[in-house]
Amino acid sequence: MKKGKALETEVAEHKQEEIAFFGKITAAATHEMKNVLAIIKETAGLMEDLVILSPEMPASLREKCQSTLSVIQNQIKRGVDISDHLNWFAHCTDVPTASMDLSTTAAQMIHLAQRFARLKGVVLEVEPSEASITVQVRPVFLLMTLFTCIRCCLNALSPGSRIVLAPEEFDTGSAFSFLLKEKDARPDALFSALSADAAWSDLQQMVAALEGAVQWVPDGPCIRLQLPEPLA
Amino acid sequence: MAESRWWQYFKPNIFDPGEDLQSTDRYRLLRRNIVVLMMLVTIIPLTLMAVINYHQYRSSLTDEIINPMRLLTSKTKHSFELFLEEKLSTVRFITSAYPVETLANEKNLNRIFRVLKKEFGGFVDLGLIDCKGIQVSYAGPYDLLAKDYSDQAWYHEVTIRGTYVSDVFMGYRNFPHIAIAVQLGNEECDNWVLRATIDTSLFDNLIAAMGLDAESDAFLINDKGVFQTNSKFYGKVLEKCPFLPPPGNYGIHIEEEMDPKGREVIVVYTHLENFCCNLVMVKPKSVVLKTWFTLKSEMFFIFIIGTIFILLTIFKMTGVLVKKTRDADERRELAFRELEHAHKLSSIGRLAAGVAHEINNPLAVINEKAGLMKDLLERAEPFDKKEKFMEVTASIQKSVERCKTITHRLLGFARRMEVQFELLDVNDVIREVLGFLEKEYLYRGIEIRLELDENLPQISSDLGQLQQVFLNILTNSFSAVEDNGLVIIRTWEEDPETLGVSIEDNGCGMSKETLDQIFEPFFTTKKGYGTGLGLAITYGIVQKLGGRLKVESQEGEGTIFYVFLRKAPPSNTGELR
Amino acid sequence: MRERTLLLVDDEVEFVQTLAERLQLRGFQVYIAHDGDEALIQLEKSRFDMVILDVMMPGLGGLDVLKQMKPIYPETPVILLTGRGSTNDGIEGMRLGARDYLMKPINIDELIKKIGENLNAT
Repeated sequence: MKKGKALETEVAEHKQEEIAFFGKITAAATHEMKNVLAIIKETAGLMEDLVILSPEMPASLREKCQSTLSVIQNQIKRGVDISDHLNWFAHCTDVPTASMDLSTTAAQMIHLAQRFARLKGVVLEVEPSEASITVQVRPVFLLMTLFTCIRCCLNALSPGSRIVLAPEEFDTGSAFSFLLKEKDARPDALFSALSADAAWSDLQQMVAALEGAVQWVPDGPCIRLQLPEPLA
Repeated sequence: MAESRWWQYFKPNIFDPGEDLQSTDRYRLLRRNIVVLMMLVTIIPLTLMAVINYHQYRSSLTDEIINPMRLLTSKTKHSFELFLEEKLSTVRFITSAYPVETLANEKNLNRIFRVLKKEFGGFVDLGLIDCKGIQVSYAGPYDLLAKDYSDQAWYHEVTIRGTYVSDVFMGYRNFPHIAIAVQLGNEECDNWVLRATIDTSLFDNLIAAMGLDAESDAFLINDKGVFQTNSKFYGKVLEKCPFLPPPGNYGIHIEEEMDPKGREVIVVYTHLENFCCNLVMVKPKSVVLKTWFTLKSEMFFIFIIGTIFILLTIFKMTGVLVKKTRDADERRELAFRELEHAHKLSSIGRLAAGVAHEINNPLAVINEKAGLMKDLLERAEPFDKKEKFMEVTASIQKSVERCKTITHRLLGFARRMEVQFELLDVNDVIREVLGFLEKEYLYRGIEIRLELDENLPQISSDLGQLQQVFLNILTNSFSAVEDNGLVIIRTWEEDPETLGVSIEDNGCGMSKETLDQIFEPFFTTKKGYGTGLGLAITYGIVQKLGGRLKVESQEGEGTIFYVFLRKAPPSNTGELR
Repeated sequence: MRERTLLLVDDEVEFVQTLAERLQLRGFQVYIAHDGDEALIQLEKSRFDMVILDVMMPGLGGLDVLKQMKPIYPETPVILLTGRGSTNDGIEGMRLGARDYLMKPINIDELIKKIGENLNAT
C-alpha cells in the first residue's frame, strides 16, 4: 500500500520527468530552429554576394535588395537571440539543482518574458548588481517563480509602467526585488490589485515549492522575493 | 424528508468517516464500520432464526415425545380398567346368577370358586357375608369363616354403593391382593355381600406389557400416594410414593418433576375409573428428549459453523472492498495531484509558448522580405543571374517554412502544459504527434500506416492532453515493435457523439496478466520506457476528457489501443476541480 | 475596376511594411496601422474594402478591434493573422465575425486567395 507521502513523491518524480521531457523537446526544437536560421543566414549572405557581383542588375532593384537583405540579417539575429534564450530555459529543466547567477537569471528572464510585457505595454528592465550573487536552487522552480511574479505584476500594472528586476543581497540571504514604477498609482491600490490576481496564489505556491518567501514592500513599491538560504 | 435526512446523517458516518482523518485511520474506520454493519445485518437475523427455530422445534418435539407417553398410559389405563371391570362383572354375575341361599351353602360356593379359578384365574378366595357383617360361607385357602366385617369401612361402603374395590393390601400369605365386594340380597335382608380377593401379580404383567425402557418406570398408587404395585426405582407395594397424584378425577395429567434421585423426570398421571387408584408413568427427561438434545447440538454446531463462515466472508470481502476503495481513492488522488501539479507548472508551457511565439515575428518579417524580393525580381526586366536570384529567394522562403513548422510544433507542444478545451481536428493532432516521433520511427524503419477518415468532424478537447495521450500510446507501440515493424493508425466516426482512434502495432503484444495491470498506476514493463508516463496517466487523461480507452492484445501478435473521444467536452470537467 | 483598399494592422513594423509593399505590387491600395487604436482611427476616417488584422498586439488586440468595428462596419470583411500554434484565436475570431484566418508567417498566395474569395462575396 502506498502512503500519501510516497504518492506525493511519485507524483513529483513523475512531474519532474514530464518537465524534463518537455525541456528535452524544447531544447531539441530550439536547436533545430537555430540550424534553420543559420541556413537562412547563409542563403541571405549568398544573395548579398550575388547582388554585389551582378552589375547587370537594375540599380533600383539592387538597392531594394540590399536593404531587404540587411533587414533579413537583423531579423535572423533577433530569431537566434530568442532561440538562445529559449534554449537556455530548456536546459534549466534538465537539472534538479544548480548554482544560478542572479544577474544572468534576471537578464534571461527579462528576455523570455519580454513578449508578455510588450503585449501589456509594460517595460521590463533589469538592474544589474555589481557583485555576483549566486544561489543554489532548482532552476526550473526559480524561473517559474520569477515568471509567475512578472505575470502577476503585468496583470496589476497599467500600460506605460515599468518593472525593474533587481538582484539584491542582504545579511539574511539573497533576494529578487521587483520594483514597480507606475505613473501616479497608490501602493495599496496596487497591492490589492496584485493579491486579487489569480496568479498571486500560484506565486505563493511556487515560492513555497522553492522554499523562499514573498514580501510586499509598500515603500518603493516593490515585491521582494526572498530566496532560500544556502545550506552551508 | 425525515427519512432522507436520517439517511444523510447515517451514511457519512458509516461509509465516509471524514476526509480529514489520517488516511490509514480512515480506511481502518471504514473497514471497521463495514464489518460491524455487515455483522449486524447477518448475525442478528441468523441468531433470531436460530432462537425461534430452537423454541419451535422444542415445543413440537416435546409434543411428539410426550404424546406417545400419553397414549401408552391411556392404553395401559384401559387395560387395568378392563381387567378390574372383568373381575367385577364376574363377581356381579355370580351375585345375580345365584340366590343368597345357594351361595350361603359352602359346598356350592366352593364349586363356584373352583369354576372361577379355572375359567378366569386370579381369584384367591370367595366369601359371603350376611346382613350382620358375618362371613357365612367361604371358599379359599384361609380359614376366614365367621369373621365379622360389620365394623369395617369397606363393608359399609358396599352396603351404600353396591360395589367396592379395595386398595391393595397384603394378605395373610404376604402377597398383595385387592378385594372386590358386591352387594346382594334376599327377602329378609338387602345387605348380603359377596367378597372376592384377587391376586395383583397380574398388574405387574400389565405394566410389563407397556414395554418400558430401563430408565423408565410405571406403577399404581392410590389417591394417598401409596404404592399399589412394586416400582422399579421408588419403592415396594404399600410404601409411600414420592409422587402425589393431583386431586380429583382429572383424566391424564403430565408434570415435570424432580425425582428423589435428583433426576429431571416427566411424570404422567392417570386415574383409573372405579378403582381409587392412579397409574403413574415416570420417564427421565434425558431419555425423553434425547432426540431433541441431538438436534439441539446439531443446530448449535451449524450455527457456529455458519457464523464462522459468515465472519470469514465478511472479513475477506471487507478487506477486498476496502482495498478496492483505497486503490480507487489513490488513483483519484494521483490524478488530482497530477492536475494540481499541472496547474502549478502550467506556466512553464505558457512561458515557452510565449517565447516560441516571439520567434514567429522575425520569421514573418524574413518571410515577407524574401517574398518581396521575389515579387520585385519577378516584375523586373530580365537580366543575367535573375533565375539564380529567384532560386535563392525561394530557398530562403523554404527555410522559413521549415522554421515555421518547428515553432508551430513547439507551440502546440508547449501548450500541452495548459488545460483548456478547444476545437481540434484529431487527424491533425495525430500528424503533429507523429512529427515529434519522426526521428525515432524513421531511424528504426518503423512503417507508419495512416488510415485516417478525412471527413472526421472536429471535436472539442484539450490539445495538450490529447497530444499526451497519443504520444504515450505511440511511444508504447514503438517500444513494442521490432525495428521495421508496422504501426497502423485509424480514425473513424464511431457514432454521432463519439470519434474512434485506433493505434495498432504488430509488436510483442501483452499477456493476459500484463493487460490486466496495464492501467495500474506505476506499472511498467520496462523501467522508464518512452516518456516515463504510465498508461494509467493516459487512462486518467482520456477519462478526464470524457472519453474511453480500450486495449486488445494477443501475445506475440500485437496490440490495438482504442481511444474513443467525445465530440463535446464532458459537462462535469470540474469533477477534479 | 477601381483599386481595392485594404487596411493592414500589425505591430511588427518591418512585417507590415513589407507585406503592404507586396500587396501593392499585386494591385491593392494598402493602408497601414501599427496598433489597434490607430486602426480604429483609420477606420473612422475612411472606408476599406477589407481589414487584415493581427490578433496579438500590445494594447488593443486584434479581437478587441474586431469587436469594436463590427457594430459600425458589419459589412467590412476581416481576415485575421494569428501567430499561435493552435487554431484557437482564429476560431474565436470567426465567431466574432471574421471571415477567415491565417497563421503567421503567412503564405502570400494563400492570403491573396482568401482576399479574393471574401472580396467577391461582398
